[in-house]
Amino acid sequence: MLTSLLYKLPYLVIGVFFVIAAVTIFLRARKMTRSEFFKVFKEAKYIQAWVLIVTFVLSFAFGVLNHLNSKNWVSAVVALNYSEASQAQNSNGTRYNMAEITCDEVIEKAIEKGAFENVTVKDIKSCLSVYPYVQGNVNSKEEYHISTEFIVEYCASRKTRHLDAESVIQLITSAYKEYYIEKYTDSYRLKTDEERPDFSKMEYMDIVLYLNKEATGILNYLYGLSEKGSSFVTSTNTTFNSIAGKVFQFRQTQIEENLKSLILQNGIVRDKSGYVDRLSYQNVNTGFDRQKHAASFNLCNQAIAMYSEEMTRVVLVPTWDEVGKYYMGRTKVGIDELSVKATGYSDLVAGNEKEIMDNNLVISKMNAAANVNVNQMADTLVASIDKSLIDFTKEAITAGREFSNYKMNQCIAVSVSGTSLFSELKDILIFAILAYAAIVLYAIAKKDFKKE
Amino acid sequence: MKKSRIFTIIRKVLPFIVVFCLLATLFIRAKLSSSNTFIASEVIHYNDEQAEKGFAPTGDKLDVNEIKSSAVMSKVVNRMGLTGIYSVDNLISRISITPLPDADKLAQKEAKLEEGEEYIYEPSTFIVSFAATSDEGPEFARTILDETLDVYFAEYSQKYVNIAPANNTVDKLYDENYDYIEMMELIDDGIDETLTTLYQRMEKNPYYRATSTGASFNDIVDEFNYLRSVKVSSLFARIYKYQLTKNKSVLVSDYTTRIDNNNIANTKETSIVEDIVVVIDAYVTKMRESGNTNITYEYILDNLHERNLTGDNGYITYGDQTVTYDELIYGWRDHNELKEHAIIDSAYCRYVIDTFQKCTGACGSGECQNSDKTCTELHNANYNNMKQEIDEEIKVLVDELTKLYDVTTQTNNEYNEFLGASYISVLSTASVVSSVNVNLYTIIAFFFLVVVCCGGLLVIGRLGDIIHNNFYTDPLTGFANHAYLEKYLDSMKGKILDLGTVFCMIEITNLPAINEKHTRKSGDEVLKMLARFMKNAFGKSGAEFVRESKGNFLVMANSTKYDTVRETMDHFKRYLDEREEFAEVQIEYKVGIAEAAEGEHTALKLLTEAARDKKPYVSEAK
Amino acid sequence: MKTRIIEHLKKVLPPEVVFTWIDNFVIEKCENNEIVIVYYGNEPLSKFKKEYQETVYSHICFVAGYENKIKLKQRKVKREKVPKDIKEKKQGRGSVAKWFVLSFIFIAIALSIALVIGNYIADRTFQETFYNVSSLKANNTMRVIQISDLHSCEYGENNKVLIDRVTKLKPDIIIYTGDCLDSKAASRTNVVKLCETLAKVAPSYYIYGNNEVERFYKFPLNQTELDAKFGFNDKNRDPSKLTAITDDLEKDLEAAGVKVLKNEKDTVLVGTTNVDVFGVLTSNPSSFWSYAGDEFNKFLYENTENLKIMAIHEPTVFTEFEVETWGDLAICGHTHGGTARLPLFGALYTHEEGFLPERQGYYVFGRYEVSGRPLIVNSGLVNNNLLRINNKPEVVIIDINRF
Repeated sequence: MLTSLLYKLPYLVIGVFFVIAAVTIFLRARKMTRSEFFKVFKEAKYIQAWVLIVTFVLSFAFGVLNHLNSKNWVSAVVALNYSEASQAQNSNGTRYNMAEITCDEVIEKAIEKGAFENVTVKDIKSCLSVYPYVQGNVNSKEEYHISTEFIVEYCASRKTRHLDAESVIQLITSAYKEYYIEKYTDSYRLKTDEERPDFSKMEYMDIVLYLNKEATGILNYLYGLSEKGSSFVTSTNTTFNSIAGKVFQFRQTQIEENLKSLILQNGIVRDKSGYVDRLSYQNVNTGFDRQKHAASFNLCNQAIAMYSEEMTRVVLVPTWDEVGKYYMGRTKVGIDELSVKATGYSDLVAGNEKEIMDNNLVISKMNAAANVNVNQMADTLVASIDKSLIDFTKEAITAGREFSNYKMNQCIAVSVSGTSLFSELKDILIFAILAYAAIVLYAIAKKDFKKE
Repeated sequence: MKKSRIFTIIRKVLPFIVVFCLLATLFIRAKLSSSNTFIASEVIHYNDEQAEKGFAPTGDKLDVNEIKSSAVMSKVVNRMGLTGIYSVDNLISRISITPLPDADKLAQKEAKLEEGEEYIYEPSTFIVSFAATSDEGPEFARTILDETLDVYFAEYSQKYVNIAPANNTVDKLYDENYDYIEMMELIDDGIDETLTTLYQRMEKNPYYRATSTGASFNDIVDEFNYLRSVKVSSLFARIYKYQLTKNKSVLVSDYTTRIDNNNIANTKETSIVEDIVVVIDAYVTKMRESGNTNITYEYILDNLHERNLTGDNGYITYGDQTVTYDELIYGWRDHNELKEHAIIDSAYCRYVIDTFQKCTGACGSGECQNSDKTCTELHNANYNNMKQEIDEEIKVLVDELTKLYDVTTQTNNEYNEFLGASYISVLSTASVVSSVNVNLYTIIAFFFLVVVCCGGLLVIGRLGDIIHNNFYTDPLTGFANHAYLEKYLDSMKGKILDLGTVFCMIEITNLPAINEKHTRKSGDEVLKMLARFMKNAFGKSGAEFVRESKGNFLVMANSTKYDTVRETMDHFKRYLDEREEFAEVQIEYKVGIAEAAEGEHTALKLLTEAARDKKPYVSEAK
Repeated sequence: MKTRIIEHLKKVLPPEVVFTWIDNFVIEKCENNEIVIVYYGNEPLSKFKKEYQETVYSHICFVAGYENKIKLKQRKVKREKVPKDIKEKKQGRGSVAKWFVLSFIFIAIALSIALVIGNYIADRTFQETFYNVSSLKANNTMRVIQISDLHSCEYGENNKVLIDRVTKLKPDIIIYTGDCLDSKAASRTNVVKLCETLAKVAPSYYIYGNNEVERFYKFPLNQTELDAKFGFNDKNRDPSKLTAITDDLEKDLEAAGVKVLKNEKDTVLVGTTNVDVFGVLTSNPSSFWSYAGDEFNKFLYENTENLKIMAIHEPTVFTEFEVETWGDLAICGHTHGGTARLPLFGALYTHEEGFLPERQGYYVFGRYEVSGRPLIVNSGLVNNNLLRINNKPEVVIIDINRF
């Protein structure tokens, strides 16, 4: 409170001058005629040395205090540059929430980034305010507006006065940008070394599964990107589909064909009995599933057989097919659905049987081969495939980032503005004029409005 | 000075009026500010085509008031850390939802209804508002509204779009004392369930990738499948191979119980199936007998019936028009399927029991058959170590699965928010207006007060005028009277008259003679006439007229000159000389004029001068 | 009344009469219907009376009343002994201007002294300047702290304050862009200790500035001098001969865990991002390409997926050469921000570029864009210059992330 009083002191001083002058003039002018009153002002001396000096001193004091005070107030404009912003969405399609600009997490991040001392999240939060740069009106459709630019204002309080205001706002906006990037932008990344498995402890067929999974992961990522921007061309003149094609080909050739065949044909396995037992268990499990699917299949067929022919009457219905061609369809009855279900179960049965056969094949290959638990060629191939997959991942990530960068258009732009020199000079000038007027008025009141 | 007297008073009192009005305005402003509220409003629109019929995507009734449900608001309070500071009901009471019907669609609806047709239209655009008090400020209003809609969008999606979240079934694994095989079954079933849900998501949006996890549903499915194929099956295989169990007897009895339960269930199912068969036969027979089945393929339907039906409660719902016969057949199939699956389940249970009860060949005398320990337990020294290993590996697997479930939940939650934002779009982001335009009303209040105060003064001044008219006016001529002149001189005591002030004294010297000769009444009429002439002569100069005494008049003129007044008196003299009224009356009078010099004359002094300046004139009778 | 009479006379009489006579009239008495006017002057009053008495009297009567008796007297003066109010009237106009000028000069001097002292006191502490740089190569957010142009100054005992703050700011990389050791400093211990302490906080790199070069090489590192020293010409130049020279500072710093980069690069892993830092020894434009060019090109064009940071002491090369790229980020110092900084005009003076260098397009202070990427010029931490005005010493903190 003392500080704010201090900042208002120059105003108080000229206020006092003005009030004394006004009261003095008012009291003394009551007994004067209008012409006398104006004559006093006409004859008064407006340029007096002491008035100039006092005005200068007060203006200087005001200038210094104003400058110090303005250091405690700064604002920034946060502009959302990505395309989804105009639909009030984040870049990942979720709803944009302006309050996140000054949420606790962002402020904590800012405090950490700036290594601010003796200040809490609550202290800084109470000094911040956020509002849209332009806000619409819900009264009419023409006035609807989706804000994509927001003003963040920081006005230091007693507890935060020791911090540099411009640094605070810069760090808040920078922390928000980081928070936003972490939360709402493409975060597909390469696995760290800790997350990567130790191939030397894995079964070779499991390595095949793992590498296959990794390759599929890259493909999924690229297909997803392709859906959003199939025509986007990266700086290396590739498209997402072209990179996906390479990965697909690689997966088919290197993993499915080369590595898997090498392992199967040579029966390379670290723990043969353990692996065979595992496959056997899978077969047992799959066998039970197969039985259930087969039972369901049979029941559907029985139900179809049971279906009374009199109840299968259908009528024709004019309708459209999937491609919009007009044709004469017919009403569906229960056996239609049963047939579809039966087909589904049949597919499942076939799937289960294939799984069992695949496992049996592997088991037979393992059993037939000599006990090869470590194979240099396989290890080399695995390492090379793994490296290639890492390279593909990097390529996909780079392409994804370029696309993201292109779409995001720098994501969020921030411009910080404090009080400019011009506005400070303007304030000082206005103050100087007011001060001069008040002091001159005081001088005139004391000197020229004499008591008769 | 009658007219300007009021304004003189106002001018004198104006500073006090201004100060008073300023203070009053400040007080009013403070009051307005404290009672002001800030209303944040946002416009949302439900994009789904069912919304215009009043339905959510699932077919349930769309209830917009869910925005201000306690489920949503309690989450908002938690998220904003307002627990204990604000009550949920308090915040709910400040939210309002206003529908914005489409004018065209409304017109269409009315037109159709007039024609007797059915037309269902419900507004799908709404204004959602939240009101904050002046203490809370506009930002609070905006923040609460934003958070409320954030939570609502996610809730909407979870309830009506992305239903059936993937649940983490492995977190309860250590609550009950499950055996290893049972734990693995729970894990396997959990993965199975999760995969079913994830496949549904994958179908709808195969390439959706959450930014919080960097994972898509495809990736998560692959991870689950990988864990299942590699780790789950590996653990299963080891448990079976080494007959790892915490308690063989308990395990065997558990699975035996399952078999028994299946058998009991199957008995029930068999009975149901038999009953259904009976119903089916009877149904078909009846249909056949009724001839309802004689529909030929040449029959063509004219129209497809409406999908919607009106329920008992008046709500419109989808109607189930599946044929009853088909329902019977499906029922037969479903119950039989349960029975068959139960049989297969029993076979599986039997397989498990056999696995744990069988002898691996290490027992010579088959002692493991009668023991409550498995054969491996009896004969493998490493059994306990293996159990420990399995325990640890299950824990590791559970940890991995828990992490994966966390990723799934996070991905799913973000997917909910994404769907929510795609099903509900924002047409106008939160804008805040204050209920009272404080600045405008403050300015209006100030000017109103100034006007009222000045008006009040004017009224008081008018009162003054009334008083003036009654006490200070000469009834004969309408001029001010002597009392007024005295009051005036009193008020001007010591004050110097402005330059341009001229006093003109007119004395009717032969008034007694006129009264005597022509009667008093005529004398009065003559005075009236003279007064009229004076007024005419001075025109609109703004001069004030006083009847000092019987035949003495005083004219007080401002902003004029001696010469001007003299000329005016010349006009007066001419009026008198050329009069036709009372032409027979000779009027003798004196006129004295004095002009105030700058800074010199008081009113009395000027009056004295004017009196001294009097010169006689005669207006002859005709 | 007296004033009114005089004012009225001034209005009705010609200016020369006013100046010669009326200005010297004083009304000594104006009461009891008697007005006494005294002329303080040496002109013959009879002359005035002859021409203007009637006019003056009639005007006086007009103002004061006809009943007044008017007397006009004269009092001669010997040495311009005129009454105070007349003296003041004549002197009034000149004194204000004199006061004003004197006051202005006094205040200007006082302000200047206050400014210098104030800045000197303010420069005892340093400010932290934050910059944000985006690069697609950044897999994660990282922080680079740049310390430059310390010139052996201290912030706190043994730079405790500086060390505390840098530690709390949690950098991922610390880069010293030269002149941290002053060429005339008695000892290099405080700088080495500073680097040693901060090397425990984050990987640190040290680049030589002109002060280090002066102290340890003893000759300027321009092409002419270098070629003369090693006997090189354009055909047989071998830059490795220069970088092979070691000195005591380099040994101390390497021992302290700080890598000294002399026209070479080093790679450091920050999170999941590989960062190549290239330090320039020969920052003189004449010797940059000839002695650092090959290594610089390797830095730019090998492992292109790594984030590239170029650290150099002087910013002159950026003005002299136009290249396709200088890397993802370039940082430098040397200019001290121009020592004194004027509002609107920027830096007042630099040794190489002269007055108002920023107005001439040179890189002096703050953030610029060169070849499409950011260049940050650090104004340094040196605070022993009285003329360092409106230019607080700074530590630069650069946060790098993807967008």
